[in-house]
Amino acid sequence: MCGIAGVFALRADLKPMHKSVVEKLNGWQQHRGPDGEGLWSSDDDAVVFGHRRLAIIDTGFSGAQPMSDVSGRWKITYNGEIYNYRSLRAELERLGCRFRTNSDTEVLIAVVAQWGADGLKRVRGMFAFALYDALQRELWLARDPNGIKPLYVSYADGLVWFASQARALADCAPVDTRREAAALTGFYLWGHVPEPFSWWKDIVMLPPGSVQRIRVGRPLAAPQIFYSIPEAYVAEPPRPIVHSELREVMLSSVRHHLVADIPVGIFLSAGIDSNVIAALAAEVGAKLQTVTLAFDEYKGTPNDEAPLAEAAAKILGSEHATVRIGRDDFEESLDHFLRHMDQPSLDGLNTYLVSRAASSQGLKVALSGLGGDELFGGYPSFRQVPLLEILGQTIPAPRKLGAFIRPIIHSVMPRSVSPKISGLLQYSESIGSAYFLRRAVYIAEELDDLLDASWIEEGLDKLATVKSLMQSIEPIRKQHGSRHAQTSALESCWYMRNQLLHDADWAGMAHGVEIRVPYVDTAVLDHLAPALNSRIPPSKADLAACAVKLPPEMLKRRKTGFVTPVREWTARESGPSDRGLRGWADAVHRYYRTNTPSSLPLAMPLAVGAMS
Amino acid sequence: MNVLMLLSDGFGALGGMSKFNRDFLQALDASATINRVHAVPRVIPDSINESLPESVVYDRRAARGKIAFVRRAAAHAWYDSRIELVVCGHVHLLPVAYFIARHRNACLSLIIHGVEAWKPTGSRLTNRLARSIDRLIAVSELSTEKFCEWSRLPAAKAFVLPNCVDLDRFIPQPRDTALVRRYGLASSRVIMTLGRLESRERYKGFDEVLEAMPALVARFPDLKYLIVGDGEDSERLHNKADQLGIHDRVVFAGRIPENEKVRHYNLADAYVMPSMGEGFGIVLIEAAACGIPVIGSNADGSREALLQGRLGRLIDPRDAQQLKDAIAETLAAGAPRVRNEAIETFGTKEFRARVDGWLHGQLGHCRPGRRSTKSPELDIGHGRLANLAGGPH
Repeated sequence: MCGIAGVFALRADLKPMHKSVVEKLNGWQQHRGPDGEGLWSSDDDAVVFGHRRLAIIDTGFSGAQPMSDVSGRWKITYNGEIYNYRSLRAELERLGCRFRTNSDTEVLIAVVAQWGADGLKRVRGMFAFALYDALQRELWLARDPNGIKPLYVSYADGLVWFASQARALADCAPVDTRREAAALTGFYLWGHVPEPFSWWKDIVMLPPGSVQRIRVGRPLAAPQIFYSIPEAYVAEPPRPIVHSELREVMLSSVRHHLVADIPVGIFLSAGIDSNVIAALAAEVGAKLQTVTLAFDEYKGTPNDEAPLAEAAAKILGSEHATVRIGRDDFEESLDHFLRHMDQPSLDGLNTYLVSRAASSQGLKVALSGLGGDELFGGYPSFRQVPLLEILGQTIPAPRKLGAFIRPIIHSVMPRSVSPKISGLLQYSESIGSAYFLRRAVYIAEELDDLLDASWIEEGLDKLATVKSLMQSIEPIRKQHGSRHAQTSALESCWYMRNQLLHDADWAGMAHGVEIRVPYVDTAVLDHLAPALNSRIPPSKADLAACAVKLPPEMLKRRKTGFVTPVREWTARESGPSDRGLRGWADAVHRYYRTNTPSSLPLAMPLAVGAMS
Repeated sequence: MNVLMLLSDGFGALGGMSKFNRDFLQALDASATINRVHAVPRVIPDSINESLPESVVYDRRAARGKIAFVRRAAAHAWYDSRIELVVCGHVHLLPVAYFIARHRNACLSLIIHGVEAWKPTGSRLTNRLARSIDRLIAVSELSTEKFCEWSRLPAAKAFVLPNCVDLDRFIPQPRDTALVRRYGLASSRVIMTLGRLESRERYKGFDEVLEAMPALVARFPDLKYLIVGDGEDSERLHNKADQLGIHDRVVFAGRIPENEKVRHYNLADAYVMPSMGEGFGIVLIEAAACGIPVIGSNADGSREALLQGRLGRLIDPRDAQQLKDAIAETLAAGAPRVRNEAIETFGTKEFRARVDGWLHGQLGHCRPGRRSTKSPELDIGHGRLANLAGGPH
C-alpha cells in the first residue's frame, strides 16, 4: 500500500516539465508511504510518475517503484497488494515471462503485458495503478473491482493528473479547485462525497473495476469496465452454499490476505466478522498479532469490547494488545484526524483510532472485518429495505402520495422523531429509494434549509441519486435477482465503497497502516453470489460457524454492531441540539469550508531520492 | 454560530450596499466561527448567476414582496431555534430584525452605510429601536458618529468595517480599445464619475464637475467627462451639459454590467467625485485599485475611503475653484498609472480578517437585549473545532 501520483501529456506538443509538481505530490503523500520515495519521467518528459512506498512485499530495494519490466517497455507506479501474485507469476513463467524481482508489482506489469485489460480479472487483491507503455505511448489507469484503493484523476488542458488522494491534487496540481456542487450536496445526503465526484470540481475518481487507456494524440477514451460487482451477483444461477464450501472460501481468502514479508495484524473487536478472521488466520498457521480498541467510557459496561476480544485472543493464542482511549485522546487527535480525511466524511474515526493503535504496536498491515455485514446480511437494511419496497408496491403512486403527505406528517411530528420517518411513503417507491432513505443523513427535501438553491439544483441533478442507485443494480434486477442480493449489492457499491472503504484508506494511511479486507474480495463474491441470490442467503450464524477454533457460545453472544462513544464526542464538538450526526456534518463541513488545501500541510516534503 | 441576516439586496443586485452585503456574507462564510447563514433579501432585481458561499442559504422566496419578506423572516425565527446572531442589513428592516432577535434571544447587529442612517428615519418605531440594538457595523467613522448621535447608541457598541475591493480583479490595465471606440475617447483625456443618477442622491457631485468643465476644457481641449450610471436625474444632467455648451465633451455611458466596470475605470485619467453624502464611497477605492488618480471630498465618508488623503486628493466639494485646480493639476501631472500600496487596507483579505476579528472579539461579549443581562455570553463556535480552523483566506 502506497501513494501514487503522476502526470501524462495528451498532446505531443505539451512537453511539461511537471517533475516538480509530481515531487510535491510525492511530498504531500509522504504519510502514505514513509519507507521510500521514487520519481521517474520518460525521456521526452511526456509522463512523470511518483511513488511513496510502504514496503510490505519484497521490502528491499528491488521492490522500489516506479518499476519497469525486464524489457523496459513498461513502467508502473502502483498502490495495493496482489494476493495471488505467486500463482500468477508461476503461470506467467510457464508462458515464458521472466522476472527480476520478487515483488507483486512486477507480476502486475506482466499480467497486463500478457493478457491486457482482461488479465486484471484474474488479479485477486486491491490496486490502483498507472502503467506507461513506452512502445504505444499509452497510459493505463486502473482500479480494483471493489474500489478498495482510490485513484483520483484530473483531466485539464491536455494533461492527465492522478494521485491517491484528491486533496493532494487540489493542493499541488494546477487543476480547478472550485467546489463541486454534487460533492457538497452529496455530503449532506450521504455523509460522504460519493464517487465519482470529489470535493473539487475538476478532480474525479476512476470508476472501480475499470481501465482507462489514454494515448498520446488520441481523443480521451472513457474508462472500460473489466469487472462489475452487480454483474457478479447474477453470473451464475442461485444456489445455496453448503457450510464446508463457505468455510473453504473464507479460509482461502484469509490465507491470501496474509501474504506479506512482514507481520500482519488483525483488528479484533467483539464482533463476529473480525473474530472469524482471527480464528481462520490461526487455523492457517499465521502468527497472530491482534489489536482491540476500547473506550474508557465503556469500561465495565456491556459495551466494552475488550474482555470479549481478549478472551478470543487467548483461545487463539494471539499476541494481543488492547488500546484504551478516552475523550481526551479524541480531542487531542481531532486536528490530525480532520486533516487526514482527504475529503469531508462523517465516519472513519473508529478506523482512524484502531489504525493508530495498530501502528503503535509496530504493525504496518492489518486485516479488518470490513465488508462482513454486506455479505452476510449484518445490517438492519437487509430487513428494512425490502420491506419498504414491498410497502411501496401495495400503494398506488407512493412517491406522489408520499410527497403530498410528507410535509403534513413532518409538521405534526415531534422533534424527537427523525425527520426521515415522514419520508417513509415517499421513499418506498423502489428498492433504490428505500435504500437511500435508510442510509441518508438528510433527505433531498430537507436540503433547502442547509444549502443554497444554486448548489442543490446542480448537485441533485448531477447526483441523480435514486436513478443512479437503481442503475447500479440493474444487472441484478434484469435477471430477477433476490431483494437480498439487491440490498447486498447496494450496500457494497454505495455505503461500503464510498464510506467504509474510502475511510479505511485515508484513516489507515494516516498512520502508515495498510488495511486488508478479506470479506471484500472478488473471489469470495464469485463463490458467494449464487447463495446471496438464493432463498437461503448465508447469515452471520453461518459465518460464525466457520470459526471452528472458537467455542460457538462465544460467537453467539456477540453483538454485531461496533458501539463507540464517537457520537457523544462529536456531539460535543458540534452543539448539543443536533440530531444524530447532523451537527457533526455541519462541523466537518465548516472545517473543510474554511481551510483551503494549501493551509493544511500534511507532511514536509523531503528531498527526492533518485530511485528511478 | 448560526446567523440570520435580513438585507435589502445582495446577490443579483447592483450598487454599493448590495456589494457590501455580498462581501459581508462571503466574509461570514470564510470565518470558522460561522456554521450557517440564512440570508433573507428584500429584493433580487436581477437573476443570480453565481454559486453562493457554501454556508449561505439565500432565501429567494423572501424577495417576492413585502409580505413574503416578513413571512419568510418570521418562518426562520419560528423554526430555527439555533439563531445566535441576527444581522440587519438596512436600517429600514430594523423592526422585523428586532422582533426576531428578541424572540430568539439572539444578538442583534445593524449595518449602516451612509445617508440612510445619518438622520432619524421616517419611522418612529425604527428610531426608537435603533438605540436598543446590541451591535452596530458602520462603513465609516462618520456614519458611526452621526448614527450614535441621533440614536443615542453607546459608541462602544459600534464597529467600523470599511468597504473592500477585489484587488485581483480591479487592476491597472491599458485602455480597452472597444470602449474607447464606443465612447469616442481616442486621443482624449478622460475624467470620470460612476454612480446612480438620482435626484435623491444628488450629493454625488455630478453637477459640480459639469460646472467645472467649461473652464477645464479651455485649458485641456481634449478633455472628456465620462459619466457612468443611470437614473431619473439623467435627463436633467443632459440638459445641464447642453446649457453649459459642453454636450460634446460629456459622455453618458449609462448603466454598465458589473464585468465591464474594471475596463471603464481604466479609461480614466482621473476619477473625480466631489460628493456631500457618501457614507464611504466604494467607487473611490475601486478607482484607486485600478491605479487611477482619485479626487474626492473631504466633507463626507470619502475622506476615510481615501485614507485622509493618502490614497487620493481631498477637496472641499463646495469650493468650485479647489475642484478645478485639483483636476487641472492631476491632468497636467499626467503621472503614470501605478497602484498606491495603501489600497491594501481595503483588500478582501483585510475585510474578512476584520469580520472574523469582530465575530471573535466584540461580538463574543454580546449579551442580547438591553435588559436580559443574565443571559449567557454568546458561545462562538463549539468545542475545540472552532479553534482549529485557520484564519480567513
